[in-house]
Amino acid sequence: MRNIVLERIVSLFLYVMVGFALFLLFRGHNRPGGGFIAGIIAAAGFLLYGIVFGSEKVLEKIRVNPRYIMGSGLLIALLAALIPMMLGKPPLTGVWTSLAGIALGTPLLFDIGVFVLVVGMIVSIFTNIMDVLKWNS
Amino acid sequence: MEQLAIVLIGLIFLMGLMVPVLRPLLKNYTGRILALVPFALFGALTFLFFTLPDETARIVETGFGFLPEMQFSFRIDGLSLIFGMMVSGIGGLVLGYSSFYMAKYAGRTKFYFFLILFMGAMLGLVFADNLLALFIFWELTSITSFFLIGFDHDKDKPRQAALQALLITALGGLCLLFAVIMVGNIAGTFRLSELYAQGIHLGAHSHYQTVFLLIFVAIATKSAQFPFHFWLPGAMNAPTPISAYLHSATMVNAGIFLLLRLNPVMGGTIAWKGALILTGGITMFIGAFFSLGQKDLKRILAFTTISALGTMVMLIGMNTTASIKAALIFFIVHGLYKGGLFMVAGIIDKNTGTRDITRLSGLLKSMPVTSIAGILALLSMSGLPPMLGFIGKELIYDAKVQMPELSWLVVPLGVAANMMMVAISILVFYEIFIPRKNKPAIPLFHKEKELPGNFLVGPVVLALVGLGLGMVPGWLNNILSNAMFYVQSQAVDVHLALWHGFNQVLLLSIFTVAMGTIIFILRRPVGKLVGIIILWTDQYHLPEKFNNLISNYLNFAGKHTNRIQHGYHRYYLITFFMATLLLIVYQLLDAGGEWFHPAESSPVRMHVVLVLIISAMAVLFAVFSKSRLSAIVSMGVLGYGVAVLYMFYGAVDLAITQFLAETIIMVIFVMVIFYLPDFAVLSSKKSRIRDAIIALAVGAMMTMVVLKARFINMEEPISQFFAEKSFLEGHGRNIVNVILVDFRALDTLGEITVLALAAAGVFTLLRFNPIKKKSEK
Repeated sequence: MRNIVLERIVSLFLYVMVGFALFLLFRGHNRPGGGFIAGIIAAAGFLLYGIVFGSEKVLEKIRVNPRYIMGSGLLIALLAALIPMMLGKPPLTGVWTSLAGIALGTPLLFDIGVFVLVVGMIVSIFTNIMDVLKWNS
Repeated sequence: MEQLAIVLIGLIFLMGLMVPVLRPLLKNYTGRILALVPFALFGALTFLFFTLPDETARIVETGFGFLPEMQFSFRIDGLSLIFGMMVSGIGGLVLGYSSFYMAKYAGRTKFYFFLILFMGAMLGLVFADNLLALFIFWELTSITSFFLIGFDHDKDKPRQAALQALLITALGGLCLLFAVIMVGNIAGTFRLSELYAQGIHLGAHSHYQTVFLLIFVAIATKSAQFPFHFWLPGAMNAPTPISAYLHSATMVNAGIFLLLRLNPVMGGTIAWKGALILTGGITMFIGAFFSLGQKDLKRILAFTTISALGTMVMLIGMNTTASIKAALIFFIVHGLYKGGLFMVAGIIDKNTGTRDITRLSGLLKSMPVTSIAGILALLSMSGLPPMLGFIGKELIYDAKVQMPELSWLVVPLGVAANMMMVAISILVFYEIFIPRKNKPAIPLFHKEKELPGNFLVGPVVLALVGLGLGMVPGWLNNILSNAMFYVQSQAVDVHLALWHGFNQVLLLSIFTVAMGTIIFILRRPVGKLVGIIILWTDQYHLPEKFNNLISNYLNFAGKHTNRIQHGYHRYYLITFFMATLLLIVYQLLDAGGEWFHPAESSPVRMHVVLVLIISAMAVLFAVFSKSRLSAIVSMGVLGYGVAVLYMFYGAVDLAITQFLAETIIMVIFVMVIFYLPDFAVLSSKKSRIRDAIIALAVGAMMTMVVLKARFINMEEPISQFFAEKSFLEGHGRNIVNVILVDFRALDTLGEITVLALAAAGVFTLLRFNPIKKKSEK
């Protein structure tokens, strides 16, 4: 049985949660938050979406195979490790530049990598479980 | 020129690796075209051969190595030149020969790949100046020869022979590694040039016996010395070009080479002389003896190789100037005639379809060129003039007669072995080459009788070289002098000549030939006698014994592995928990000190107690619940309770993470658990009690750890450092996050990699279903 109200709320809620996750991600360096927490929250949004609409709809919504998301997260984190090496510093050293008064650096890139990987991992796991165990109503 | 030689060796390795690419381009000409590189190397080495002054060695540094101690540096001196020329020259001939021999075989790419790598490894071994590099090349020859012997990998016999060869030579390789490391530690250098220059001799060192034993096992396994000789006859399961190469210049001769290389460093002691003379003597004798009872041409040759190797080991063990000279010459002699004979055997096999000497006959008439090449090689094998083999044998007798103390033992043993060699040469000659009335000539496959001329290049060239060097042995003087200088560490002038004058040694030679002929005339009774002895020794058939040993060992290992790796998850967990428990509790009690500081305890706060009570109730409910779903939900309550506790004590990030992770885990758990069968009590009461005890004990241990952690500080805590640097250098106020992504970023990188792996694991577990796949087909 379809529940229109629930469906509307959940599909709105997905954006709210992903937006909140991004907010947590970028403020994570100074206040509670960070890549891992943000990743779980964003993934929880997709999880909720998946429970209501089924895993196929989740995959449609994010368009990319979650395994690729996972891989690109790992690559972004690795990039954060490699950039300092190109500048002749030990890997994973924080390299900072300032843009309009906001400090930007490789740790932030690393955090984004963690975020992307966590989202990809959780989405990959639950869509697979839902798919194999026929949770798609 | 020496740089060019080393570059060519490198080129051979490169060529081997490129074979899969080159073969489609070169088609059937692969062997012939690739043979040009070893021939070029042979040319470069020949140039050095004639220009290298006495008592000098050329060192070539490549500046490349795996370790500072293990540089690939190469040395070119008389000894490595003699071996290198044999390896590259015969290698080129073998490559050309296999181009024809292997024309109809499948898997030629693999064949050339391993053959060329094998050649490169052997050249590297011969020219290496660093003992560790030498070891690496030594192992490389073992591995590549494994693939070559087991070339017909779909048949049982070659596979077994290859495995046997690999296991035995790998045992030797392991010993060599230990020996090399010990030599390096004692001498302080792994470089041969430094060892030679400093005149180090390990004979007086307290570990000499151990090093010698290890080296001895290494060379005895590689060079097929008794009692490890049995892998070599099995190795003839390889295609004939491989046998020709293994026996004549490479593989088994690596042991001989190593002995000569280490002679200045280790040779001449009582242990060295005793062990090598004894083993070499026994090997020489049984090799020759068993060859008399064989019918297969390749098998006969394999046993004569064992005998020849025994001769060389014995000569090196005698450690006199004359004996080393004889060993070097005999290596050349043996390589020339054995390579030629194996190639002849291959041609005969191709053209008649059999290698059985009782069925072959009259080949001199039907295949004259092949036969003459074969006969010249046989002449060399039996040590008759004017071949180089004659000079070799004269030198051997000379060395044995001159040997102080032991000539009473080595002379009769050597004469006996040589008598049998003469007899087997005449036997082969008589059986397969001479046309006879009572034995029908065997029909040939090839219309023009001889195989195409290209086939014959190898054996003919080798036979002619043997003949030529026999006539003009003076060419070898210079290089032998140089080699002798590095083997004996003293200058020796070598003068070779075919005719030594009428002396004791010549008398011995004549006696040998006469006795050999008598054995040949009495071949029927002798053959029977050998047959009986072989039958008797077959009870102690070493290859089978070795196989039994291996299979028993595997059974033993399998049984014990099954006992430890039983596959029951609960027992793994029990083992893991119990081991951790015992170790940690022991450590905690051992550390002593206080557990609890009353003065530090804060007042009991009601809200904390409330959370604790709710969590404890949730745990108890989970334990006694009869429904999976409610058990999981109550575990979730515990998780949230812990998160709330984090909150109370100000760890906001931890609390958020705990909340979120707990939520996600519960949802996924519910998804999965929904499809499990109904709850059932499967474990007995006894095992439940046991599990409860273990669980409580582990819980108690964790409590102890947490209590104790307060009082144990191995290092100064670094939280202060983090707090100070977090904003100044990490540009962040949230210390937890700065630690995660900056201070401890490498840990995080590892952790997220594990996360990705876990997701991949879930994916495979869910998607990989072999039963389903089969039913779909």
